[in-house]
Amino acid sequence: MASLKAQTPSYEKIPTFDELYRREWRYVAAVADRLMIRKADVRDIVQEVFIKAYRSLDKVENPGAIRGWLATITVRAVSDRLRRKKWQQVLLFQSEQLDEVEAEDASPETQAELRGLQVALSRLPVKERIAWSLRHIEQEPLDEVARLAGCSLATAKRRISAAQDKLRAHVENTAGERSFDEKGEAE
Amino acid sequence: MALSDRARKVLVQSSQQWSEQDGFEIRAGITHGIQTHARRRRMLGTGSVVAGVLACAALGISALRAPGDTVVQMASSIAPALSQIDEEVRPSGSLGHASLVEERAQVHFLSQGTRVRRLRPTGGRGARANVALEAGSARFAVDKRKIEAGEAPFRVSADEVLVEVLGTVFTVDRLSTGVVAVAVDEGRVRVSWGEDGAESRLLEAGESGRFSRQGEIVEAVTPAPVEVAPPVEIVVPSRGKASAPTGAWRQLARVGRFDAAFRALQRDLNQMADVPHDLLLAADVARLSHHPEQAVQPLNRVVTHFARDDRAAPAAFLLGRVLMENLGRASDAAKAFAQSRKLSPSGPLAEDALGREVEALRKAGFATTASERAREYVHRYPAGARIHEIAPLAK
Repeated sequence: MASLKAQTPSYEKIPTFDELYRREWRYVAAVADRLMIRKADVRDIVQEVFIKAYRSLDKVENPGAIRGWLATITVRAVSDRLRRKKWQQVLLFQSEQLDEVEAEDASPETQAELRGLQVALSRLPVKERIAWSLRHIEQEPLDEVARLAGCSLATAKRRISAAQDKLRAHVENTAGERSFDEKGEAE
Repeated sequence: MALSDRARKVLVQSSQQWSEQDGFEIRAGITHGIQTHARRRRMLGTGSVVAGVLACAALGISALRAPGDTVVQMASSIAPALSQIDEEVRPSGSLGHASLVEERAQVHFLSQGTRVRRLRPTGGRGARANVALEAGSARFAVDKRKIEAGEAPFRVSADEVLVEVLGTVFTVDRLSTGVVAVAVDEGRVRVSWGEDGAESRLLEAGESGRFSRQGEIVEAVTPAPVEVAPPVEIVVPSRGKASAPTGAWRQLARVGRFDAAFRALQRDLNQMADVPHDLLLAADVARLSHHPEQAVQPLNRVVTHFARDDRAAPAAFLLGRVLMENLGRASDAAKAFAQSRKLSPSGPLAEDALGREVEALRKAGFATTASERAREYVHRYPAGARIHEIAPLAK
């Protein structure tokens, strides 16, 4: 998958809500899932997205823009949820709970990489996390990242760059801790 | 930090592991959310009307008509309520049923060629969606809460017969002879016909009736009590006690008492005829009474011995689902899905069968064949419902 809008199903006309749900719920779930939120939250996000879509489907004029429209609603719903969770964590002194990525077939290295990424992303500010995920997981072009995140192109670039620096620092720190632990065990 | 291609691929695959059951559960939540939203809007609307009335009274305007007078009249009349055809209701490819979110109802398409249309009245206070059964046979399940909440009843029209839901589960069958058959599984329905639905009859759970388009009741049948005896009387094994009458399992199955039907059938398998209808019903009874392993044999029988029957392809598809989802036999499931496609290459289930075949092959560890089938899917169904999950496997 190269982009959120890749493999867009062809809509010759505005679909009914039932048809829209039938054709797109998996897509919305997959996008929310890849933005690295918990599975239980993904269900809530899909519900939220389609309830919003239900309310404004009659305002959509271009059938070709439907998937992009859903993607925008999804990204914003995920952002709002992550922001609310951040506040809850701050108020309750909690850390973010993370699901295991279902990757039984993956090599231990890949599994470790994904676990590390989950932890690292969970520590980023929400705006940076979303921008980085859109760019590097969804592989969206920069202008599309800006559109989906609701910011200017320059801001999108800045967020991605800031996220990248923090993720790199996290990896280096983790590697340092690991080598320190391994050294301790050897001694 | 850059995400490796391998990790990203795993992430993408992991994000696509959502089952149809997940879809239905999420859908139920959406329905609830939409209804809650609609209730809030209605309350706001009522509040606005009250405020408006008070404001008008304060201004001394006395000739205010009650809103919706004409709509009440329209709602009591059949024809205007069905005046604007909105859309055709289509079953989801795999399950043969469709959800009507606003109406809190599900439509199960029971025969090939069944056509259901959603109809929307012209608006106002009587606004609620009805459906028309244009051809074939369909079973309707309506959320009890809709009735309990005092919302407008769900109505199905078939020819000139109107079925109004006062309960929850019922079947409407447009017979080729111009007669409409209605069978009630749960709750009550009112069947009406004639000018503006002037004549009507209530059908309770377990009752069925046949109504002609001219408005005459051709037949109204209330099954004998022995046919729908409480399950405990049939079920409790007791030496010397008379067994359930032959065919009782079908009646029990028809009213949704699958556990009792399964036990009645198990006591004497000779009750089941070696014909597709009985074999498929027996498979349903087994599945829905949580004995999926017992559904395999009758489904297999339909597929292998009645391959020319229209129901063979859906039977093979269902067999694949049972093997995959209930019994964890992915390899066998892949063969069943392939068989379904072979029996009906351009049928309504062909696309979904191929998608599920890919999934089953992948789960069974046949990565190369799964990839080949995935490419076939992408080629045949570039805008298919599963394209976004299958396309990555085609590479």
